[in-house]
Amino acid sequence: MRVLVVEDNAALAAQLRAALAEARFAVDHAPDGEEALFLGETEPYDAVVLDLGLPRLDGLSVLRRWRAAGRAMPVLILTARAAWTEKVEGLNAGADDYLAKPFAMGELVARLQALIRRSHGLASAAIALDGPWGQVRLDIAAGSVTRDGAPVRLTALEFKLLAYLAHRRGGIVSKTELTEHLYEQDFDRDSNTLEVMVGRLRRKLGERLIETVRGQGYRLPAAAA
Amino acid sequence: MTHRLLPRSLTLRLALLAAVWSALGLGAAGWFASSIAVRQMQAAFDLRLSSTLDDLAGAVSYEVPAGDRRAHPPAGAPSQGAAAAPGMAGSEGAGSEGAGSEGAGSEGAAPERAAPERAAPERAAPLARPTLRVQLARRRSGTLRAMAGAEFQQPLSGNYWQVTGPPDADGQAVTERSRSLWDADMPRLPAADRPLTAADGARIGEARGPRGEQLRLIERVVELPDAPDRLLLQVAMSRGAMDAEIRRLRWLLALGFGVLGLGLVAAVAAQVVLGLRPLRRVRDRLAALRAGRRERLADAGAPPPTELAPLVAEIDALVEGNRATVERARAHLGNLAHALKTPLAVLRVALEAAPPDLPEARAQAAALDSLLQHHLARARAAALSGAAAADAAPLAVAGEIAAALRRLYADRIDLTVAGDAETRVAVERQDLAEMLGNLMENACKWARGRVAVRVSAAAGGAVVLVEDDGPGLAPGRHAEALARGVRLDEAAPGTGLGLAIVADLAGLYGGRFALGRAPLGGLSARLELPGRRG
Repeated sequence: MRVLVVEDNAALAAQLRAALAEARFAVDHAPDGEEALFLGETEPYDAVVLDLGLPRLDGLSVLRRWRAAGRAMPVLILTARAAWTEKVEGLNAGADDYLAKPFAMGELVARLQALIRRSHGLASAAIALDGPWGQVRLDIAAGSVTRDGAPVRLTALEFKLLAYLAHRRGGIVSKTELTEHLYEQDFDRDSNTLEVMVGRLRRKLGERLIETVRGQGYRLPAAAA
Repeated sequence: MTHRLLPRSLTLRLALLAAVWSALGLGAAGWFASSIAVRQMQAAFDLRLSSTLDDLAGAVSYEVPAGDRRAHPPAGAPSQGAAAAPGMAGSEGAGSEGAGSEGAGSEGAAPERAAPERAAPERAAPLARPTLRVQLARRRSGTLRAMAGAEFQQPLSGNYWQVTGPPDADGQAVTERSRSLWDADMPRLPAADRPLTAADGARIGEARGPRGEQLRLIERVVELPDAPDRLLLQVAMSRGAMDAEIRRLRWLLALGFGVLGLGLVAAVAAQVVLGLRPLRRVRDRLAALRAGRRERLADAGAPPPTELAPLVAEIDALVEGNRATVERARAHLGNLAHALKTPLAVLRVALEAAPPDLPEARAQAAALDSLLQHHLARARAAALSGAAAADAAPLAVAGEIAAALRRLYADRIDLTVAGDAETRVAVERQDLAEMLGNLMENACKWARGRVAVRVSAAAGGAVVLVEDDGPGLAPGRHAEALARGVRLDEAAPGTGLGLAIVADLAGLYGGRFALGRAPLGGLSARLELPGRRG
């Protein structure tokens, strides 16, 4: 999952980056409204944490322009302005959630994950990937994976890949889409790494868990009806 | 609009208005006065003209010689000569010279001058001509004397008379004229559409004299008794003197009214300057008040004029109100500072412990946050409450909040807002949003699936009911829920201040807030708010 953090306070931005990276998000940071606008319009983010008081272009304007341009990614407004009139304005401008500063980092991460889940139509953070390979349980909120009840150790990147595929389960995910959603903006992307990671995940969780659709990408089996 | 037309200075403004008004008023009055005076002068002038004409008529004698009577046979003709000219000399032309010597020495000149011309054709034609004579000195009336006087004697003096008889067989009219005419013909008034008769009476009008001067001319046709012949009598006097008099009068009037007008404007300006002096004094005192050199605007030693007293009282009340607000703000700030010190102290101790007591530190940080929010909300509401313009429509505000909340809870809460759109409350819109937002979000957090908001008008204001179908609260815990900082929900996110802030704000605005059991099954929050006064 790749998120954009729009925050002009450097200290808070660093804290956010660290906390979100620890929660296995790929994090991009925009320190002002204009850069935020550009990144949000060009990069496929899974969610945005948006401060409202920004230099060059205020957060509400950025949000309105994203929405006007058809960008539908979930946006969480994070601001010191906590009055209800401001909250109403932010939500009605197209935000999906609103969190007032000061805030608990845990709450922010939980809300962000909930927003992403909701945007993918997932009801719960715990995802069951059962099949001939056994009972695989993925808990996105907790960042844990078990196979037949036993915990499985995954690297951060492996977990990100699995989580992204789980959010899009049943659908074909191309390698390009995967790289776009797993890596940060200036990361050196190498699609061979993806293949290696998919191979490792298959070894750890079951060869047939991740299906390769030739020439198109990968797919996790759809949830049992 | 007016501020662009008028100067900014009140003095200038009033002086300007006074100037415009007195110019209009005095101009009209001056025009009225001068037109009346001119009309009267003209009437007097015309009266003099017409009485001179009357005298002229009285002094004229006309005699038709016997030979001529056949041409115009009048009844009773023989008596005419005797009646018209008693003591007149013979009917020959030479008789006119006699008339000159008979009259008062000086006025004989006019007939004398006229005589030679008339005498020549008379001598050439054996036919006897009618004799026209004007005997000026016979009567002792003042006008007649005047007619005989220098003004009618001096050539081209501007005062003229002329008597014209009927034309004779040669088409030559017998004429007598004042010496001042100096053989010029008296001009006629613009012709009437028919020949003038005696019945027309006198006509007065303007004409040009022999020197081109403006004349006032009166003319009249006289029919002599027992004679068919008509005499045209004319008297003219130059308007020059009268016009000069009129001009002088007008100039004097303009000067007088002008001075009067200037005086009025100056008086108004002086009055404004003097009248505004108390205002200037109030301004000086206000400046002193602002600089802290005095406590109040009102001064027992020098009370302001009656008109300014309410202003001074209002300003003093405003200053007093401001002082109270500042006092309150200072008190709030003090409370906040003191309230923050305790959790800060605990926080320091918790962090200084050998292994820092992080749960305690976190709890104290949360407490600090709560305190800040609480005091900020209170301080803002305290500053705003009592603002005269506070006015908001609960239904509209609730509708906006519902739209926002549906983005957050759309998937699981059916949120309805209904009620009276016309109902308004005397609450700052932001504070109303704060109360309704907290209540509605709280309901959404706890509801199983339904939240209903109802706005209804009540005596002296409005009632907003927010109900949910959640678990509700036991009656005994309602008061507890309103206590500051108490969280009855450890599971749902929130600061725990929501309901306490609502109760605080409602109290500040003179409203009421109560919790109860909703028909839906969950909590029912009832918020009563005052309406607009007046």
